[in-house]
Amino acid sequence: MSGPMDALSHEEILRAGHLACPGCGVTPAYRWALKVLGRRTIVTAPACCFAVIDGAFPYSASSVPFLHAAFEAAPAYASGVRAALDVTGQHDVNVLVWAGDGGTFDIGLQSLSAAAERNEDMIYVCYDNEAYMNTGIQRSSATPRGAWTMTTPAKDGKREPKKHLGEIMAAHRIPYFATVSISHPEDFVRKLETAKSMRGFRLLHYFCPCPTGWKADSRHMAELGRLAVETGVFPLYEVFDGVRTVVNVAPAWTPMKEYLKLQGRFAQVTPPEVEAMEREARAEWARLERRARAEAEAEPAAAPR
Amino acid sequence: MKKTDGRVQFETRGDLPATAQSLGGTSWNRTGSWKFLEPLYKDLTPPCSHVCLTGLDVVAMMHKVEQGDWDGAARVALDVNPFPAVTGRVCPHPCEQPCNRKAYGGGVVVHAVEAAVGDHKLAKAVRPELPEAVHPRVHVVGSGPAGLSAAVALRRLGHPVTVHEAAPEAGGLLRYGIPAYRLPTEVVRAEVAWVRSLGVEIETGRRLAREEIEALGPTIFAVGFGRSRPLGIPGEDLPNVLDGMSFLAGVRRGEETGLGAEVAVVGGGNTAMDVARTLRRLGTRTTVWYRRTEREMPAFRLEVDEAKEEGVGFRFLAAPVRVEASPTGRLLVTFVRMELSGKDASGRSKPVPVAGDEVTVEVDALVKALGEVLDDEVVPRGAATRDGRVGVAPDGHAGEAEAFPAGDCADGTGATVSEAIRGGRLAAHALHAELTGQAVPAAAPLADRGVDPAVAKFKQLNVARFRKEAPHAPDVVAPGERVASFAPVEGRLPAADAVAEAARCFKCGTCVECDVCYHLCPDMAISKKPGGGYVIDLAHCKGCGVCAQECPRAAIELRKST
Ligand SMILES: Cc1cc2nc3c(=O)[nH]c(=O)nc-3n(C[C@H](O)[C@H](O)[C@H](O)COP(=O)(O)OP(=O)(O)OC[C@H]3O[C@@H](n4cnc5c(N)ncnc54)[C@H](O)[C@@H]3O)c2cc1C
Ligand SMILES: Cc1ncc(C[n+]2csc(CCOP(=O)(O)OP(=O)(O)O)c2C)c(N)n1
Ligand code: SF4
Ligand SMILES: [Mg+2]
Repeated sequence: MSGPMDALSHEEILRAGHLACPGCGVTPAYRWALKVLGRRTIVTAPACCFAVIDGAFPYSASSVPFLHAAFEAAPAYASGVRAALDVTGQHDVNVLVWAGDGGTFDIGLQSLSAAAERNEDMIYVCYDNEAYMNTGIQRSSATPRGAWTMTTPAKDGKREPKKHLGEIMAAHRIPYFATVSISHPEDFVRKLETAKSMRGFRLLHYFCPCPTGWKADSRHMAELGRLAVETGVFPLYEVFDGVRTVVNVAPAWTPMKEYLKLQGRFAQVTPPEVEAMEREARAEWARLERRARAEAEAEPAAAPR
Repeated sequence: MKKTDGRVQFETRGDLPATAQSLGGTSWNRTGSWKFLEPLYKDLTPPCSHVCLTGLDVVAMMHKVEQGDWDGAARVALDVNPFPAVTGRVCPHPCEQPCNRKAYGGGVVVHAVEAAVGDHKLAKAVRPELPEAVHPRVHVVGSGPAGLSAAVALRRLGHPVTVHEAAPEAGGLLRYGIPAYRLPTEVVRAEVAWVRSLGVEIETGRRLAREEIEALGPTIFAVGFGRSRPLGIPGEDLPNVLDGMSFLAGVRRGEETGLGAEVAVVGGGNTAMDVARTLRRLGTRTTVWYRRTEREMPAFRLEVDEAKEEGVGFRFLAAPVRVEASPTGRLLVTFVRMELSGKDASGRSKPVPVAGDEVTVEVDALVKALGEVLDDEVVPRGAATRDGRVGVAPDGHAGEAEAFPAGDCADGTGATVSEAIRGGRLAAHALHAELTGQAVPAAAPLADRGVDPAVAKFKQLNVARFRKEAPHAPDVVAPGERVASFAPVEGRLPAADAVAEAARCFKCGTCVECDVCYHLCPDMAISKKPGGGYVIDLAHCKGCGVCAQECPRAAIELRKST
C-alpha cells in the first residue's frame, strides 16, 4: 500500500482469536485505529457485536484496557474515564469509544449528544453495519431504505431512509467529523491521524460491511465498502468545527445494482427502487458538494480549531 | 487459577476477580477451525512473459525499474537476454499484445522500458557474474545475435570463446541488415564492445570455409541466412536488379547511396519493408509489389504502417514475370495479376496468376526481397538441411556434424532476433554439455521463482487500487521528418518515464508485497516475514477470502481447506 499504511507499526495491539464473523469489516479498522493511537489508549464500547468480538470473560483480544459500557451510555462512561485521566494528569492517554450504529444513532444518541455538546476530549468511532447485528439483525435508524432486516421483513424492506449522522454531529459543532470506509485504508488512517492531532470531541463514521447481516459473501468485505463509495451510497468527507466540509473522494457513479447485487438484504428491491436509490445518492452528493462550496466561500480562511 | 496454552481455568472461588475483568488474550482460540476455504500465495504467469520469445521475467524487470534499481533490472534481463538494448528496439514485442493493462488505460510499453534497461546496461557496463575461463576454448561461427548470445552464454559457463565473423564488423543483421532508423549503429557497436569486455574474442573480416569450420571441433554454427531467394524469371540478372539483403548491407556499410528516382520492391516481409523505407530515405519513389493481399503480408504490422506513413506505395495481387532493359537504360518490369484461391501448405491463401492480365512499369531498379535461405556452401558435412535451414537434433547437434546450429540457419525456430538470442543460449548449453558432460539447466526465471504456469487473466485481477493512467510512450518522429534521415524513428524513453511506465505495469500474477492482504486481514492471520513475503497463520485464518479477493495481482489462491 502507500503512505500512511506503510507508516503503521507491524506490532499488533489487537490479537487473533477474536470472535468476529469471517470477513467482518470491523476488526481491520479497529486494528488500524489501535496502531495509530498506540498502547496509551483506553477503549470503551457499549453493548454491540464488538463487545462480544473482543472476547468473553475472562479474555480480551485488545491488549489495551477495554471497558464495557451499557448500551445507551458509552459516551457518558468515556467522559468519566477522560475526567479520571485528566484529574490524575494522564492527558496523553487517548480515550476511544468504539460503538455500533444502534448504540450511536439510536439508544446512545442522548449520551452522544451530551458528550459532543460538552466537547469531551475523546475519539468516537461509530462502526456502522446498518442494523443491530449482535442481537440478530434488527433495523436501526442507520439501516438504509430498502434493506431487509428481521424487523423489516415485509417485501419492501425498510421504508424509511437512513438517519444522517454527519448532519447531527455538524449541528453540535464538534472539532472533527469524518466518514471512513474499509475500502480506503489510507484515507481512514489519515483521518484518524488528523483526529489524533486535535483535542475535543472527534467522531469517525465508519462504513462497516457485515457479511452475516447483509447476506453477503465474506470475501466482499472491502469490495462492499468500495462500491458504497463508488455508488455515492457512502460519500467520504470531513467536517471541521461543524461548518467547514471537505469532500475527499468523488463517487465514480458505478451503477447502484453492482452494489446491491452482492447483498441478499437488497434481494427484494425492484428496478424503480434501484433508480430511486441512485437519485437519492446523487441528490445527497449534490447537497454535500453545495455545502462544501458554500462553506468555503463563506469562510475561506477558517482554520480548524 | 491455572493457565494452559493461554486458557484460564479457575480452580477456587478465590480465583475469580472482584469485578469482571480480562485475565488473558484470545490467541489461544484457534479460530482457524471455522474455515472451509484457505488462502495460498501462488504467483501466476504474467501474459507478457508467457509469450516472450526470450523467456524474460518481464514483471521482475518492471519491478526493479519501478524501484529505481536499474542494475537489478539489467541483471533480470541478462538472465535470458544479453542484448536488451537491441531487443527493446527491434523485437516485435509479442509481450505487448496480451498485456492486461490494455483494458485499463492502455497496454504497458514493455519494449521502451526494455530498451531503457538495455541502454543502462551499456552505459554502466552492467555485467553478469563471470567465472574463471577454465574450460576448453570454443568457437562460434557468425556474430549475429545468435552467435553473440551463444558466445556470452559460453563465457558465462567458463569457456574462453572466439567468434569468427566474415563481415568487417560484428553484429550480423543487427549491423548490416536492420536499418539504422530502427537500430542505430552505435547501439550495435556498444553491444559488441560489451561482449568483448566479457573476454570474448571476436575476429572479423574473414569468412571461414566449410573445411575450416569442420576443423574447429565442436562449434556454434550461427551463420544466419546467406542468400536471397531468387525470383526465377527472365531478366533477373540484368544490372539494377538487386537483392534486398545486399542492398541493405550496402547502405549500412555507407557504400550504397541510391538506385535512381523510382524503384520497385518485390516481396511482403520485413526485408521488403526495410528496403522500401530505406529507399524513401534516399529520396526514391518506391512501390512494393506483393503477390498476396495486405492481410497475408508476413511483415510486422508496425513496419507496414510506418512504411505507408513514409509514402511507400503498395500494389497487391501482382507478381513479376519478366524484366527487360528499356531503351533509355531503365528497366521494364512486367507483373501478372494474381488471384487468391485455396490454401497453401503454410495455411495462407494461395496466389494464382490470371493469365494475360499483365501490367508493365518502367523503373530505375528492381529490388528482390522474397526472403532469405541458408548458404549451403558453409554447412559442415554430415549436417542435414531442410527447407533452407540446418536440422537440429534433440541434443543440439546438426545431424552427424560437430556443429551446434543456432539462429536463422537453425531449423525449428522463427527468424527473429529474440529467437536467435534464445537459440544461441540453448546451443551454448548443448555444446557445454557435450564438452564437459555437465548439463546446464535451461534458464527459466519464472519457474525458478515457483511461478505457476497458469496465466493471470484480467478478470482475476482486482484493479480497484490501480489508476487508469495512459501509457508513457517514447516520442515517434513525424513521417515527413523521418524520411529526411536515418535517425531513429522512435525516441528513447526518458528514465523518469520508464520508471512511471514500469510502475504502471500491474505485475500480473505476482506478489510484490504491496501489503493489501496484510492490512486487510480481519484476523491478523497474515504477517510479514523478516526476509520478505508473508506467512499465513492457518490456526487463526477464518477463511473469509478477503485477501484473495483484494489481492490486486491474483497472487493468492483460495482453495478448499484441508
Ligand atoms: C532486413 C531485415 C530486417 C529484420 N528486422 C528484424 C526485426 O525488426 N526484428 C527481429 O526480431 N528480427 C528482424 N530480422 C530478422 C533478424 O535479423 C534475424 O532473425 C537475426 O539477425 C538472426 O540472427 P543470426 O545470428 O542467426 O544471423 P545473422 O544476424 O544473419 O548473423 C549471421 C552472421 O554470420 C556471419 N557468417 C556467415 N557465414 C560465415 C562464415 N562462413 N564465416 C564467418 N562468418 C559467417 C554473417 O556474416 C553474419 O554476420 C530482420 C531481418 C532482415 C533481413
Ligand atoms: C438497554 C439495552 N437494550 C438492549 C440490549 C441488547 N443489545 C445488545 S447489543 C444490541 C444491538 C447492538 O446493535 P449495534 O449498536 O448496531 O451494534 P452491532 O451489534 O450491530 O455491531 C442490543 C439490542 C442491551 N444490551 N441493552
Ligand atoms: S454479525 Fe456482522 S458486524 Fe457482527 S461480527 Fe459478524 S460480520 Fe461483524
Ligand atoms: Mg449495528
